[in-house]
Amino acid sequence: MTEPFLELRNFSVYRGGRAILTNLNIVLHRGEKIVIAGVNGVGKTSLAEAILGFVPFKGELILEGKPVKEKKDFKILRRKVGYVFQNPDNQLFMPTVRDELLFAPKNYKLPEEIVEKLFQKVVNTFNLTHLLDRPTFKLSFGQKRLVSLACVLTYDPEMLILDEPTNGLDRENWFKVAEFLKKSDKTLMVITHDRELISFLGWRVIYLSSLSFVTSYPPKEELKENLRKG
Amino acid sequence: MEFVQSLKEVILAYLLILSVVLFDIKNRYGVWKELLPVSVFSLIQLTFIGFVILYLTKVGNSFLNLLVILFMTVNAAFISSKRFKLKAYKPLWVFVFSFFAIAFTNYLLLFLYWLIDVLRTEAHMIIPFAGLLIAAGMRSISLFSQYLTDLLIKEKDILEGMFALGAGNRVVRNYLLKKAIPLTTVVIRDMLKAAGIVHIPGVMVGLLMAGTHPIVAATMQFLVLASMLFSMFFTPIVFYYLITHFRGVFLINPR
Repeated sequence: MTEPFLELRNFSVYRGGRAILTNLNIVLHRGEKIVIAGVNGVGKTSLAEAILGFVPFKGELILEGKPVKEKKDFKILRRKVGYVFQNPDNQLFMPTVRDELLFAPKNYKLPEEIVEKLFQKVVNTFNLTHLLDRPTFKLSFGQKRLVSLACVLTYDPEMLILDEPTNGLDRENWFKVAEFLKKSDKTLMVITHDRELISFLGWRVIYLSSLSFVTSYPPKEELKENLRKG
Repeated sequence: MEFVQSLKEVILAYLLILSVVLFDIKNRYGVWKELLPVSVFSLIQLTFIGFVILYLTKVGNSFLNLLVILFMTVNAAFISSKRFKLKAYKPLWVFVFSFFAIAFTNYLLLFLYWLIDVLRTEAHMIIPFAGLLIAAGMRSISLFSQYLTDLLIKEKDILEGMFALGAGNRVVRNYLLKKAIPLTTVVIRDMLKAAGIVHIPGVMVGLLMAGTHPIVAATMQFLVLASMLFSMFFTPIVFYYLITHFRGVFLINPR
């Protein structure tokens, strides 16, 4: 049995001093893909933000066998776990799409040849060539969504957490994103209540309810089957 | 004669403050509670510094003058640190970094002016000039703190987005400074723009009333404005650089 990539043990998430999710236990192996579902306001986004270190939590957060506690641990985690925000505007603060796509690789000081390769790959995957020199504030919501996903991919994190990645997308872009997720070989955690996406992906679903009661389906055997298919 | 003149001025000043207090109480803006004790202390402090300058001028000891400037800096750091609302930083650290920021930026200017003989260390020269600069630095930290708090609330999601994309403290600090500094310096920039065409600033008025040649008064005033701009621009930058360098960038709600 390989070591889990990311593990949450007795993980409770707090907002305004109040626990909104309690005692979650999630184990995610390398290459595994899960969906986090649940009604609005249940704490799906807070869970993602807690993993990234933006929201307080109690319990254990373990990345590749090492506990994540200090600021420097979260820095390492953010290098390995890319987060695509629910609101794409949160990730668009540079003047143009090109600057936006190069923001993270520059922060992580990736070698130029790797950046160039990743940049081209991402631009081609999401068909962004015509948008590269456009100011980010002039993009449509769907375009912003694609760019926010693309700007995480340009630094090639091992895992992605995507918060409502298909929200506000037209049919064409919906398929573009859904196909990308389905084909990706990365470890993925997709937060969504898009039922069509959930059934399209066919991954294990962790359902968060208002009582923090967590159900997981399909069962493990089915999960393995899905992973093989995926 | 001088006493009568001073008394007239104090009465007039209190009438103005009283009008503000009455209007404030009637409209419940909530400023009067601070204003009443401040107006009393302000008069005492100004009168006190008047006597201090009088005494120091007679004594003629530069070391004592520098001690007074140091005392002013400590007070300025204390007042500006009280305005800093981010609970992630301990008040003591805020005070220490405010002090160093105000001292570093403004002592540098004072030293430069002393070096090129624009300013002498005599009490009646260095104390008012240092006071102007230190007060400008203090105000700029208070204003900066206000804008920074607003920014951290308004742009919390964007700042998290930056961290999520691997931005380090330096990148986030520069982003925040880029947004907050133009707001912090708007008053002094407007003063520079308006000098001479909208108003004649205080120093020039004082010099003109004391019979100084108008051109000399104008150039002195220009130097004062430029020095205030320097102080208001660099003091908050030094302050935020120090506090984030040693204590980190925090995205925490104000207390």
